[in-house]
Amino acid sequence: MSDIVVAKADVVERPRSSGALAPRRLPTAASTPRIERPRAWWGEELLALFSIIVALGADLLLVRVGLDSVDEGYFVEQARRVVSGQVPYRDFDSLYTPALLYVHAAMLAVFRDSPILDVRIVGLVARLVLAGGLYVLCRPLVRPAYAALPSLYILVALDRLPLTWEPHPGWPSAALSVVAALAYARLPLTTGFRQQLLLVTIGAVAALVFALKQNAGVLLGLALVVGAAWQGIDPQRTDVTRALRRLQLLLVALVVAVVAWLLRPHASPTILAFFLIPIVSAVFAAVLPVRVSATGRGIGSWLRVLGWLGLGWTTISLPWLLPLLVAIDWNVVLLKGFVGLVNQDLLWYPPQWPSGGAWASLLGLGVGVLALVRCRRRPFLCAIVLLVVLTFAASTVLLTREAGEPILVALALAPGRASDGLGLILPVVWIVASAFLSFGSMPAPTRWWLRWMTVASALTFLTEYPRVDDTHLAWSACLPLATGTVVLASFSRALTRRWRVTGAGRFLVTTALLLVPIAVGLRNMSTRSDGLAVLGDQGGLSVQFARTTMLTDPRPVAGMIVSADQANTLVDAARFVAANTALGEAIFVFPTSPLVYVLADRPNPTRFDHLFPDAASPAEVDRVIAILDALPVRIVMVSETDLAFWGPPEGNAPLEAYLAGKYHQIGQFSEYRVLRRN
Amino acid sequence: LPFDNFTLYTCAVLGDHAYRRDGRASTAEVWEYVGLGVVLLVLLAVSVANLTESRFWQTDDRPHAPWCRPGEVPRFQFGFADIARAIGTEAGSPTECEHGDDSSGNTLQATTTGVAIYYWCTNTSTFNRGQDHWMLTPAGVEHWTGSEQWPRPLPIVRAPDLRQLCPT
Repeated sequence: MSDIVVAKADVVERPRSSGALAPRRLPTAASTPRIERPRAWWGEELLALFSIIVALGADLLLVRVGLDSVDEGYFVEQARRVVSGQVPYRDFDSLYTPALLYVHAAMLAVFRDSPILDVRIVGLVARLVLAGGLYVLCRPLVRPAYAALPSLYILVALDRLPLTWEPHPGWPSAALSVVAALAYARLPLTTGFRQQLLLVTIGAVAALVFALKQNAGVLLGLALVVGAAWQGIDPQRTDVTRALRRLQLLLVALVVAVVAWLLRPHASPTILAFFLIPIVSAVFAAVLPVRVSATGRGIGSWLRVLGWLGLGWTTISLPWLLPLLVAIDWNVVLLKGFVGLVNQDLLWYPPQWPSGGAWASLLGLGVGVLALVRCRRRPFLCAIVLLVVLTFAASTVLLTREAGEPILVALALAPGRASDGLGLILPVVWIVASAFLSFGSMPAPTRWWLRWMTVASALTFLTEYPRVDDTHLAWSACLPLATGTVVLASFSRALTRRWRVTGAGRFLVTTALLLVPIAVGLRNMSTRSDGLAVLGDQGGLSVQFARTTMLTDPRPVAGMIVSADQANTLVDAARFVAANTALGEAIFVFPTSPLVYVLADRPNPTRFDHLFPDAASPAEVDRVIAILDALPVRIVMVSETDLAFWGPPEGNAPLEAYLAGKYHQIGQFSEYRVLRRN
Repeated sequence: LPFDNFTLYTCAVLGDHAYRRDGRASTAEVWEYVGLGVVLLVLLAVSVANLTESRFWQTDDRPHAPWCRPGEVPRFQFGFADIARAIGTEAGSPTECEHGDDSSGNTLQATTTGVAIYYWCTNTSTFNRGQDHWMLTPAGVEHWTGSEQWPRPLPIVRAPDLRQLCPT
């Protein structure tokens, strides 16, 4: 199966005083981990790339399917505000750094057809860069089939379209984080000016990531800073001066302290373990093996790397940060979200861990298949293991079957249901395994790659906090997945060689190792088709598709295909609002369905497109009430589902009381209620 | 370093040299079988423990009337009990447990002769049987026939609530 083959580095000794950026060896293609490319792999390479293209093509085919009133509405409405001349933070509240808003706004300004399609195209381009970047990142270490796995896992097992397109900064920031990690991994191949240029580029890419999504940018920056300190950019130099060693240990303490502080609001043993175990593993992998030597890498070399990275970061950040500060009259309090000074409780989404025991059955199936391969020459043991495997298969179905569900449907859905919660744990497993793997016997460039990726994976995985859910996993787990595929390839190769497995046995080993990711993918396929298709049992397993409608109006969604249910509720409600208001008349949508502003083509007079409980301070809620009163806003739309989702009104209680007292209902479209001022 | 032993073990397990040429199991091989066996046993124990507690085995053969929880039987309660007592056999016997109506926020309960409705906004219990309608007011039971529309508007007693709007 997979082979991690590394050519020997071509090392040329140079004087120790030359510094980290000075050429210490002649870079050649053999200086970094690479894999032999026998001719037979061209077919596999084409097949791997073809699979990624098919997955992206399927996304493209679905570009007109579905609407998401909450998240998609949020980004489209904010882009419309930018197009109309409003400035984020000054004129409207935004949860993220502004780059994506301006990218979306540019798309809206250039293509005046459908704002929904515009933002989806941006998301598709980000997915393309992400998938391609991951493939290129992994390809030097593993064979094509394995290199394609991270991209396919994200596109198939984590992406939720068309249920929700999530035109979220997570997509482009994850794509650029992969580009930065890839560029960093190429540093050993360069010297002198080219290396400096590459470092500046990496700094610039990190700045772009920050401009898209602040926490992703900060954590990527942190990974670059500590990565450069802990193992430098030269795979051949593992010794450091005593001063740099002290600095390394100081950075370890600093990183652990910062992470603990970040997690403080929701610190529990499981949450701390979930995020700190990868960090501690990365620290062990990158810091523990370092040797202290008087002639080793010094602090100066680290500072020089930081200098070039900082130059790139500044070149990109200052040109947008300064004009923004001027536009908001240097009221830096409006930008407090840039440095994480937000109420974490608002954003906190606790992880849903595996429960109910079906997860154990699924893992048991995987381990059981491995044991079957291991025992294949011992018939008695093999029979026992086969019995255990069958027991696991049966218990997976029994533990996940819902009351009255046809057995065929239960069988088809069992693996996906059993994987519930396991997807969250996979990245942690990959990071820890990668750290351990880096202690094995391997050439220096491969070890350097693994340790850099372990550090970068552990730190960028922190973007999963505070919303520890599957949606954010698509963006936080990109680098852990890249390290994971190297671990998988290595483990698969080790097992097949050790157990002397050939033919079907190899296939079984690979399947067993991939069982959980495959099950996570099956679960996601079921989730993303929610509302559009459902499995049924009519004399055999069948897929029943929901009735859909191609919309002809309103203009922003003309040509979109939505379920009849969505057409009769969200779209009809927006049409009703438009029919009962004048062009340009302000409306108010509460609490979190801003797509209605877009569909009805009516402006939002308040700062808030999402006004979930405690999103606004008491003073800001009073200001919203004052605006509704002063204009006055005649039509308000309320989503019952959103109210129920966000729970008790908390800080929004005065606003809810105001709306209930001053408005009465004039129309209801399932969950959407349209109110008119008394 | 604490990892040295681990690394040595990993190399031993993953390396080809763990195999003995005479075909007999080496120490590492035995540990491998033991390790796989222990993992399988632990996972099997977790699965079986959950199977025994699974709802799959907990069959409740008793028939459940609509909207009733296991063990609950349909009966009149609170305002429905008061109005049923007041109008006597006209109310019939409940065929389901009382339950909320998502669209209106009111509470409903079907009977053998009609349906009892509790109006949340006015705190009023009513009973409808075809053209006959009854409502329970502080002054006693009022009866009217024809439209389900109340003979006179009743005051709204609830404070304004966006999550359960009352008609104005």
